[in-house]
Amino acid sequence: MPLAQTASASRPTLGFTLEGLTGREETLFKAFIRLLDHRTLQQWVYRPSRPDLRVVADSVASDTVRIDAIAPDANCPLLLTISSAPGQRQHCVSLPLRADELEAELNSLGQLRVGAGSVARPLPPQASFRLLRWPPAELLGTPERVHFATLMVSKPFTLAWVQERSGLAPAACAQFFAELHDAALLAAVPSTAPEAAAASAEAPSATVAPPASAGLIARIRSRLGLLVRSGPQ
Amino acid sequence: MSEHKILFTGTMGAGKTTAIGAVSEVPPVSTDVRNTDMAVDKATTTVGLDYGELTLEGGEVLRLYGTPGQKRFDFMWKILARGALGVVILVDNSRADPLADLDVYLAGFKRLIAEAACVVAVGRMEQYPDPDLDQYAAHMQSRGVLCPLLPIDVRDRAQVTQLLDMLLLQLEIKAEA
Repeated sequence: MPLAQTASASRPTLGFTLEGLTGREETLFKAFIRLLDHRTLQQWVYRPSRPDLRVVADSVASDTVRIDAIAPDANCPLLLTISSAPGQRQHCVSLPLRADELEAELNSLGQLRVGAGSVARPLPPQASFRLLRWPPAELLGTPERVHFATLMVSKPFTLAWVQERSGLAPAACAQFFAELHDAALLAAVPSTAPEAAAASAEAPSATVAPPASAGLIARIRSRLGLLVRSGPQ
Repeated sequence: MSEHKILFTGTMGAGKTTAIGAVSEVPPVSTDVRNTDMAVDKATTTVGLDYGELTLEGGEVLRLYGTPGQKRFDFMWKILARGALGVVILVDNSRADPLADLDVYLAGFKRLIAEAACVVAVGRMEQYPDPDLDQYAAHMQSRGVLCPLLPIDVRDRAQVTQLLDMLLLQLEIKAEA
């Protein structure tokens, strides 16, 4: 089920991961997240890499508390415990899950995270960026993201342009964009710079082929059995 | 009739011949000889070049060239790079210093990488996981190169096709600029 898109442009996106839960509990928790998406102050997405929130079973929480007491880390994810014994911990919800209880905890933890300034706010769709380096495998994950990243290597870009060019859902694009930004892989480019950067690029040498035409690229794709992409003509 | 070319480069044994064979419509033509470099476990190696091709709609031909791997043949790299659409750099992660190997090709094809398109593909990562892709990405960043980077099994046609897809996507973006 796609994430609700109505609020994604105005709400920060936060990632959570699940630890120590049974498969059934994981499925149930993700279903609750989708159910509550139109009510929470932040948009929550399952994101095992670089999570803002670890949702953990009782046993995992006990170990985590002990470790954190030894080596607390201001940048570490927040913790929400799923417990069979309610009221034992701060930021804890009990089984069976209740929507109102979970919503209150998500909003409370979300505000903590956003208030701490550790989360990138949604990036303006018209702001220009350039990719600093090829993203790590943990951020790529899917062929769509690899395609998305490939779009970014050739010139400065805006989120709006990449959304249009990639054909991916706006929420998925915004999410990947935010993760790249969080990982310090994007550098802002002054608003007039994309065109200027393109114009000031070194003049092509005679030793390199002139830019391949869209027709030629389409014919090569077709011959390779690849989908012909529908970019702007 | 128009002709176009894409290059495959990389160290001896990185799989250039295999990669070209995976997508070429004709069996790759190779100028192989008996390998006398005992550091590399293969019977023959390419001292000239590999060649494969794809006929496009309308009769145009896309030529796929595999460069000789050894740096002593770098005079041929410049000849082959002339007019190329882009270059695929194949790196063999089982070698002693694959990042240094990569440097050789980033330098040798610097102009083509900057002005056309490039993809770096790393082979044998399952058996030899170090350096990992993130180390490659950091290394390329330190050399001022930004291009797609992925693991590869050159025997798999789908993976080789994906390399070419990424190359074409970069060309597409440059053509629009």
